[in-house]
Amino acid sequence: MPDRTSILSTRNLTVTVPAEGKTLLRGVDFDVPEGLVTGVIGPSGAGKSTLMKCLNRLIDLTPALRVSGQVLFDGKDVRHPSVDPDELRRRVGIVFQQPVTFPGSIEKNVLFAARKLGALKKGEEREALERALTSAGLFAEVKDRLQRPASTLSVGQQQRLAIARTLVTRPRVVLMDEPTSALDRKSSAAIEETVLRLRGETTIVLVTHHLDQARRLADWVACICPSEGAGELIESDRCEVLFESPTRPETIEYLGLGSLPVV
Amino acid sequence: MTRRRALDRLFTAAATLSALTAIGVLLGVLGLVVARGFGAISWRFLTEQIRSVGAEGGIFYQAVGTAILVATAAAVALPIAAGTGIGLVVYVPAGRLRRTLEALLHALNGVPSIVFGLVGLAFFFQALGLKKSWLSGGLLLGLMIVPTVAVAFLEKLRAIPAATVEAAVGLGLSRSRLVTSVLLPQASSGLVTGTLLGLSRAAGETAPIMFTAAIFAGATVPHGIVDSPVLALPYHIFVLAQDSFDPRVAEKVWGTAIVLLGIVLALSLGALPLRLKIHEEARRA
Amino acid sequence: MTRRLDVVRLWSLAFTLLAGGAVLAMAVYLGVASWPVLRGEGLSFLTGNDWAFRKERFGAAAMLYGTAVVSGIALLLAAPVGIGTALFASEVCPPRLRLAVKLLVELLAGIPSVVYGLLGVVFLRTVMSDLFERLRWDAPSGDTLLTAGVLLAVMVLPTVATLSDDALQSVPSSVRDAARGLGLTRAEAVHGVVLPAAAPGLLSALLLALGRALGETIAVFLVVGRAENRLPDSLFSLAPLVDAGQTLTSKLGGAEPTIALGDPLHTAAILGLGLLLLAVVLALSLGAGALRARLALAQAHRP
Repeated sequence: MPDRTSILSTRNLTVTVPAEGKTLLRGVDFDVPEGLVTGVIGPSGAGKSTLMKCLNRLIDLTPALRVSGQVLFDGKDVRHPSVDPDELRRRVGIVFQQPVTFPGSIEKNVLFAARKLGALKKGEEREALERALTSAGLFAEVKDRLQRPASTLSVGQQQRLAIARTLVTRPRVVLMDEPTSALDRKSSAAIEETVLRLRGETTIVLVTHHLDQARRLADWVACICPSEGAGELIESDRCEVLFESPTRPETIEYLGLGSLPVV
Repeated sequence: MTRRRALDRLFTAAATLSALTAIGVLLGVLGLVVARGFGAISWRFLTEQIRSVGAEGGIFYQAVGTAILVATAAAVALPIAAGTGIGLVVYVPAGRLRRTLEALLHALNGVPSIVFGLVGLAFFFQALGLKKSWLSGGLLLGLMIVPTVAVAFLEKLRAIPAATVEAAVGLGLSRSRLVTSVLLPQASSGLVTGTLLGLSRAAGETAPIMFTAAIFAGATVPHGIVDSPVLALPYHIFVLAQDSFDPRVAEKVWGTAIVLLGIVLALSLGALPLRLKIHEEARRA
Repeated sequence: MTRRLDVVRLWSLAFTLLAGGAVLAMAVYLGVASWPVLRGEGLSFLTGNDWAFRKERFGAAAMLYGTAVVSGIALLLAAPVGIGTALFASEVCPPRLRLAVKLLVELLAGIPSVVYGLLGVVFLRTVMSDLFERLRWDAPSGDTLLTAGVLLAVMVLPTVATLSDDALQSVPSSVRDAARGLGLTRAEAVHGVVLPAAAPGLLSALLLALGRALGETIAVFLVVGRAENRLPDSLFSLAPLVDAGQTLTSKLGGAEPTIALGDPLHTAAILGLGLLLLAVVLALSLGAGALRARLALAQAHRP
């Protein structure tokens, strides 16, 4: 366990599909230290994305899933009735593998949530827009065409746009579910720079199956592997420690396979 | 409560209210029909023929007429729809022509039923000199439901895995053998579903048959083709609905409506298990 | 090598052409048959307000007006409730209920128009005339354009709901995830992202519903009043709503087509009305199809 406080954590988190008798995640005790980059690795289908969606209660949108256990944000249970899930999601942002652009211009996309929330006054919008786009490493490329439709951007640019859109509302945590898997090298590199830039002020949780990416970016790494059909948190440790001397056989097996060069 | 929360609640309430309204209307419609007509339903009602302009007797020959029309429609629609499905998927090359033909098929689906009736009146009744004939009615109804049958069939055809087709072709099957031995059998449930759905619509239609096939009284079972009308359930209701109501007639009209609804519902429900299965398979795919 | 006649190919191509050509054949047939009147009357077939077959005058303006009013009322009433129902089924409703709701709505679609007509005659007519009395509107009876519009609204409601639901469902869940993930409420996600994405499909649904409304004969015939040549002085006056009227379909659903058989010119005029109806409905169908194609294209471009 790191010395820092956990801004997000789960206690005995279990996710099942009652109608089919399947378990997706079992007994996960996951801690996200504040201000650091936490990598989440593991084989596909292990439940990493499910874990992400539990952290900001996006899992609620799939009523077929039953969630038990605790998810704590700043020590408070996020599934407590007094917690507003929409407010939670403003504070814990998320970026998916496939970027989704909303209808409208680049500017409209970035300020989308901010406008609905009424968080910014008219005068503040321009500054927030610039700040978010710069953090996402996109401002230089789009500053002259902010009114153009967002759909005209390349996939890599759209992903950075999605990140900027999340950053406008100044979340304390940004969850990233394989953000570079669909992108080319240049865009991936830009996003990795963004992660490092955000580190410190923002907490990042990064799901990735590029192990070299995890090594480059993460301070802390957790490995989720399937065990008897359900994903379990097998091991979590400081990045160097986990990669150099993993202790659990599942981690060793996954890293063993994973250390083959990624094409 | 913040404004955003309030708007969200409002949205949920409005959507729920709309759905309740729609369902309420449905229940109201069914409830009224059943309440008004229930008293008329009896074995005699279903098996006797009409007397005293609908005030007495039953609707036997109306049901018979509807059955004849529906059966003819099925006999007409099935081969045409099956042929169209096979044609579009197997023989018509993909591209402009296929898209146009499919668009025309959908267009046929949108043609108002009265237009079928008018064309039937001008062509079958007068030009061909058939006068009122059960065959005209059946032909028109059959043509009308071809798109319904064809679309259901096409859905099933297109769901046949490419691997199956490749395997068959690999075995050396000619195109026509592919059609008869593989495609038709595998997609036949689509034909059945589509036909049941189409017939459900055909059974209840008045406009295509009111000029061309149906009369109000005086027919039993047709003997030939020319000048051989039938009675029909929907037309029976239509005629009686226009006169001011003799109370004795009223209950029987509602009873006829119940019978018609029952037939339409039975046909539609008959398609349900297959439709649910198709829906499930599509969902899992 | 002898070439055997490929029966299967012949059969399927023949029937495909039959099914595809049927619409065109009907349109051509109606066009040719009604040409004498269309040429004789010219534009006044559409704009003239005098339909009097005994005088050989065929101006269908009043019927066009009636059709427009009745269909307009039907859509005005059915669109909000139908789209609302679709929103419920697609965005609000728990998934287990969804199938039940869809089935119930489809059930409504399956009810034959003559049954709706019967309900209109026995119930709606009196309800409307009571309403008119309560509101102190001067209405001679319950058979009015408004009555027909209300009845028609109920009849096209399932069409609007089902097709709108299809349009909403075609918006991928990743879009909703992205919007909700930003902290937007469900209403904001639907309003800001889902509805715009589904807009072409929703419009297509409304166009198709309009087509159904325009073509409905039996139910409208029974409650519209069937009064000839009623055209208001001002386009926006509400008086016609409480007055009996005539639509293209209520004219065609009556006795006149049969009467017309005795006179070739009259027959041509009636068939001309049929052509008019067919043309408008086909135009709407094409428009709806084009919109659906545009929607499919937009989906394909998404990564």
